[in-house]
Amino acid sequence: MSEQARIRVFSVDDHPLLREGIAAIINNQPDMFMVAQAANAQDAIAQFRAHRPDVTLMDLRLPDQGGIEAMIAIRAESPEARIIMLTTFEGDVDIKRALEAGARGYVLKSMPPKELVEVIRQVHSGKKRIPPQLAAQLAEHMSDEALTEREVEVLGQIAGGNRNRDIAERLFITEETVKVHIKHIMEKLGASDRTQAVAIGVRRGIIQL
Amino acid sequence: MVNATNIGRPMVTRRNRPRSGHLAARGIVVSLLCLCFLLGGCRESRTDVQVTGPAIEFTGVPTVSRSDALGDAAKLSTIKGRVIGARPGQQIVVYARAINGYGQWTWFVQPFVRDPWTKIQSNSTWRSSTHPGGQYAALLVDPGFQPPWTTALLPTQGVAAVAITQGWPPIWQSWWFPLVCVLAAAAAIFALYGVWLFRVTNTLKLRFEERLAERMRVAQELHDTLLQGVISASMQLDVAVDQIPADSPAQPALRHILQIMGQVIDEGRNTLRGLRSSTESAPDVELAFMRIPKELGFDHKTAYRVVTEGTPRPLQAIVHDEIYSIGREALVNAFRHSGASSIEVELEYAVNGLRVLVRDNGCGIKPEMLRLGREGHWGLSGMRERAEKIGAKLRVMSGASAGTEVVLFVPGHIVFRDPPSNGRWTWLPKPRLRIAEHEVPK
Repeated sequence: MSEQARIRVFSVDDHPLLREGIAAIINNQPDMFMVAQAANAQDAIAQFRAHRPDVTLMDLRLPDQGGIEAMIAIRAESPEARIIMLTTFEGDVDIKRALEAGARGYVLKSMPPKELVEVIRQVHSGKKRIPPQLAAQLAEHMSDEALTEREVEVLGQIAGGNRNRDIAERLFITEETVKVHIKHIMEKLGASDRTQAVAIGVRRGIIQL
Repeated sequence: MVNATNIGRPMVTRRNRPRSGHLAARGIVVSLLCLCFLLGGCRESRTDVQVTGPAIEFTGVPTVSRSDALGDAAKLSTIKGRVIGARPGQQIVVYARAINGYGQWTWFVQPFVRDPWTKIQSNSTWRSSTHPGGQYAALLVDPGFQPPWTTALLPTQGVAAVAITQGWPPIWQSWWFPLVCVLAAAAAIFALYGVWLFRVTNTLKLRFEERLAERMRVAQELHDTLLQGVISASMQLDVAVDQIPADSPAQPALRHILQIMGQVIDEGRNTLRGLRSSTESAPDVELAFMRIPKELGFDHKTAYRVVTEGTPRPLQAIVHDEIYSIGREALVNAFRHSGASSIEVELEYAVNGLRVLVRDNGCGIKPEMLRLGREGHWGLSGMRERAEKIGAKLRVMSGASAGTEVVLFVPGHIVFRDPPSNGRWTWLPKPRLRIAEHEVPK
């Protein structure tokens, strides 16, 4: 197969070990090869511009900014960019956000490599692809009321081990307002205490580990 | 006891001292002020006024209720007193103060208008009758003094001494005084209880938040290092397996390794997502205690059992952790030092709390060790400290060759997640340990 006919894959992930693993899988396929790698969002945008890859594998968490934000930046320049989100967790909120922002696929790192390369092929041929288990996760919370931006912020502060007073100080709001936010968070997530709220937040991708 | 190792835990330093409950503190102050006021008022209610050299004192004043004091004019009672420094010929005139027909406070001469004089006895005492009044006055007057029948102000002309006293019973003799005292005491006790509960709750909250942050950090760390590494290794192994000829004898073994790695990755993911599952679902104390000897690698020669009494109820996660730690410490002691042939854990779910009993039939702890509670030894101080932190009571009973019994009691409002459905005390306004600001009815 000629160099041109092979799928040119670009991998963005801040973990060197993981990039190594993905490269091994991609380069083992006869019909694709790794054209470039990036470890952060800034580098990802620059590398994309330089290499114009066919398919991009984007980690959800990057050191400088979120993978979804990096994807939005890339797609602003090249709307036809085919980007697959590649992450550890199947949080419905992350999946929804990624798809809304224009991701063509969503894959878990823990999936068998054969599934990963299959998704790459399908996305390259112009299809959208979400594994069934993720689609089920998405459907389960379809009708759930989403947390507001402020509530997500508060939940993130709770996860950081902050007390209500500290949260109020950090977000420049009163402690009473923080309590109201927490009340709404608990209701929306169906959590009965702070740990549970954080656990649900992490599981559903509302906050990132 | 030479080989008794130091199994105490390092002290947990408190970052912030919890602020005491303002409301509760205010309650105490208010009730104390009330008491002071009441007692102070009592002391002032009997004041003897001294005008000049001679002095009058009341030794007996009729005590009637306030309503009688202001109304009943038909009733006569005895009033008596003493005089110091009276000259011969001087007499006493008694007035009672009541409300006249125009609704004004007025002094009425006693006992009768036609007979207003009271003689001073040879032993300096005097005695008269009087109608009930709100106040009584005794005047030491010179001979020939003509007392007015009624007067708004007590006469001073020709008066050598005056004494005035309250007519109604002193405040501590009124029927409601003991009630007020009891109420004030109850309020003080409730307030103290509130302060105590507030402190315990606050400490727990603080530790809970610290722990949550710590768990997030650990989860993040594991996600970034271990999990990504294992996933990468698994990916590369997958590629390597693909490159091995299908008939190679290594194929099945490698496929098996891949499968195991897949399981490890899944378990790791689940653990991280749940931030350790024990905080999410109510942890099972009984099961946790059952596992301890195995986890610590103790022998199977000792008979070990865990008994549960009552209906198990979900526990507060953080309190559960402390109970587990205390019980575990007690079990470590029992297994390691007691030489017991039988060790038993009893979990008793009572209406008012959870009782955890760790009992062995071993050699017991030396009394002086128990009494002195030597730091670190047997982890006793660590256990006590933990118990204190969660507002629990810890008792260690031990006798030579009678074995040891460690009893931990945690009050229900601290240890249980839900209030008892039909407990006897549900009507009491009992503050509960709320880690969540809000609980969603399921």
